[in-house]
Amino acid sequence: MIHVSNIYYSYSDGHEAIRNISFSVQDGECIGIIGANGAGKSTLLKLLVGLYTPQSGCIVIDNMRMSKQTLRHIRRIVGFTFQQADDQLFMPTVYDDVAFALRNDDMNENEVKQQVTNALKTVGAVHLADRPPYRLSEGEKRLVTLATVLAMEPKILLMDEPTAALDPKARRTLIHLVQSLPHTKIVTTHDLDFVFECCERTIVLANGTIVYDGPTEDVLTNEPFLREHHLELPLMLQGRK
Amino acid sequence: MIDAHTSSTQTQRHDVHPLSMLIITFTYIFVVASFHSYAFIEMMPLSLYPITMIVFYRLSVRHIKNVLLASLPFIIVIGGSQLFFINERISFLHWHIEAGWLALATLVVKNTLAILAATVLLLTTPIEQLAGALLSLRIPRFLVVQLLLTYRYIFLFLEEAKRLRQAYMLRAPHHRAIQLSVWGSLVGHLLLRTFERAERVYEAMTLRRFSIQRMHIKIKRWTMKEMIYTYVTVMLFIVYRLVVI
Amino acid sequence: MHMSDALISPAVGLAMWGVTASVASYSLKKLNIETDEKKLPLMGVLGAFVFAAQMINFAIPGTGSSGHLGGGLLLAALLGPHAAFLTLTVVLFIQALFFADGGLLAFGCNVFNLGFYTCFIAYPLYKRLIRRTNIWFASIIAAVVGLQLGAFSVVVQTLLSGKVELPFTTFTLFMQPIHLAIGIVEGMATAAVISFVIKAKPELLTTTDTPMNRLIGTLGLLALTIGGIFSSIASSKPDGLEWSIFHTAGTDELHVTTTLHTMLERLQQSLSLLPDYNLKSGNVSIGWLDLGTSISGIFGTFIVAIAIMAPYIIKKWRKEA
Repeated sequence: MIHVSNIYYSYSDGHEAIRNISFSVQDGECIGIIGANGAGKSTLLKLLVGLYTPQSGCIVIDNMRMSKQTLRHIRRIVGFTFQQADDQLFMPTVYDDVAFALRNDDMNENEVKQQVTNALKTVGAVHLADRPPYRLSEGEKRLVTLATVLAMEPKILLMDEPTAALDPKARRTLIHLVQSLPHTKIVTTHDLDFVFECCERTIVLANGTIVYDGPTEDVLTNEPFLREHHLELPLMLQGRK
Repeated sequence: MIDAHTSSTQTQRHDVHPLSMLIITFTYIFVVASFHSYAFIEMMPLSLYPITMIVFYRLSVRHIKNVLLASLPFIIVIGGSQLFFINERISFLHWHIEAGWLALATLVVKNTLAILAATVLLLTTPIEQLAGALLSLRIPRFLVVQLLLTYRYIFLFLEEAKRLRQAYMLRAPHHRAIQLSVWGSLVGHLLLRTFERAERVYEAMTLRRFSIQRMHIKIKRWTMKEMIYTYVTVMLFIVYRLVVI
Repeated sequence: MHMSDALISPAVGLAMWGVTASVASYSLKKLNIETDEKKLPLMGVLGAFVFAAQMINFAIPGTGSSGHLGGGLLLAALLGPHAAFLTLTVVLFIQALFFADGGLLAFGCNVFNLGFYTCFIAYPLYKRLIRRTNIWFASIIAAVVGLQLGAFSVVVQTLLSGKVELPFTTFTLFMQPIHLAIGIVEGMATAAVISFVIKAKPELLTTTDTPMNRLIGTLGLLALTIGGIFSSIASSKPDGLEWSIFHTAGTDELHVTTTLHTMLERLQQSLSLLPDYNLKSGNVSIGWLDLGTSISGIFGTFIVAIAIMAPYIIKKWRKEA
């Protein structure tokens, strides 16, 4: 589904955010990307959706090499949710926001309605349809951002810190939701319990390179390794010691 | 341009007194602007000042280049019009040339020198110190505080604007720019968040018992050495303008 | 359009600094920050907002191109004219210094052209129109009027400066239509945001009334008079004003005799500030430029500038002391 080989990315101020990263993702996998602040997690996601272009190396998504020509198609396959839900919700109502991308594809209103309702149903936010986004709670906003992306029927979901700033109940709702979605998923987060519950595979980033790529179980129980990379045991495992 | 600036803020800052820099920069631009429309040759020696500063303080050439390039189209259009409106010939050194071209070249040089000087001021003087200098020039405290507050949030907001635009473009891949109907709502949301942020800033200020009068803006002492340096530099510019012509 | 340092003379630049300083101090006084101290962070944050909003381009309906918000009228609608003027002053200062948009000498011109007209003429007009018509119409008309005045000021300031050779008529005919288009776009953008705010949080829009005040009236009148005199001179010379001409093409000497310079020269002679120089004959020429003219130009500039700034400076200094 996704093949990333030897990509490098540095910001215009010269800061090297991503250094020689390669990995592959199979169809239907759910991968957690963890690491300290500034390790390059968000940058990596933005590279995968073509918001940034790597200086070298290549990214292949769904058998298409990412380039200016394929970008439009790739963005149809890849859905991306921003770390701050506010960045993504800018239409007057939730309904308009979820319908936004569909209307841009000149879909007729009946189909739009169908798909918007489906998307809102999936995330359990049908009742929010007519509310303006700025009046929603942080948890509701998060669900709606997910709906805006799901409405485009992507194959791959990229989520940047989806559980940040959520209350426990909203977080639990989100975890169940993520588990129920059949998409290929890549999630960056500091919420290690989330990773433990949702992702069978984990990638640990440090200073722009991959320092671990393998089963979640193995890395999240390795306390010294986690500590070295500014992480800790998931809370649910801390009692075991 | 914005990226260039964020990076330039990271380059090391220097020790010229902000008040000196402000006075020198103003005099310099004043002198540059006072030259007539064909003073191409006469203005050349003035380029020594910004060049010296750039070399001496190793200022970010990339930033300077970006700013200069951004200003060029406009000045070229205005300068280019001179080719149509000036139909005289003029003796330049020992050639006879179209005066319009000389006017165009002079305009470009003037623009370059003025921008170089302003950029040198910017790159050598941190904003907090500039604020101090403005205060000592009796600019009302309220405006100086405004300057600092605005500056504080610009880069945060530019980032936010960038993300909003990205979020739009991801869901509307074949649009080249944001449609006006959506734009109103998009910027409207940004505006609402701006108000909320202002509210939070205000709350944070009151919690710490902020007042404009008490807000600490450091005014660096203007030593004798710096005063002399300023005086000499300013006099150099003025004397050059008056005598050397 | 931002006025640039390369286009203006020191005299015009400083005079406009003076005008801007007095409008700013008037606005400061009117603002009464003690009673509404919430405005302090709001103005700062909204200033930053203007930068961000300018970054987000929108497609101009019916054309292939895109435009961005200027923001003056929107600020006035949110903050009222006085706070909006001060916020714009800060925004333009940062633009001049950090983005080389405009310049330091031209700063006064830019604040006047983009801030004064928008806050004190376009905005009151908007307030009046909005009572009778809808937001879109009111914003577009107000923005167009503000920008037309601003564009005309640019023409006047450029030609008074005499640094470029542009016939008055041609320059005006070039500037005004362009700014008509810019004004319409600005009006539409402003209306788009304001209509959103009205739906979402109408209480954000300011309700303060803005009576036309004496100072503003005087300044407006002054601007009109200058413009009037200027255009009458212009129309009496249909070929355009000959602001700087070669009297002696082909010789090595170049006289720069702008009307303003001549005026200042006369002023300066009558004050006999420089009795040592024989300015009248103007023969002390070294190289290309007539020394007398240039000296009188410089000193004239200082005189004009000081005359304009003096009341403000003295007042400020007294208050501080």
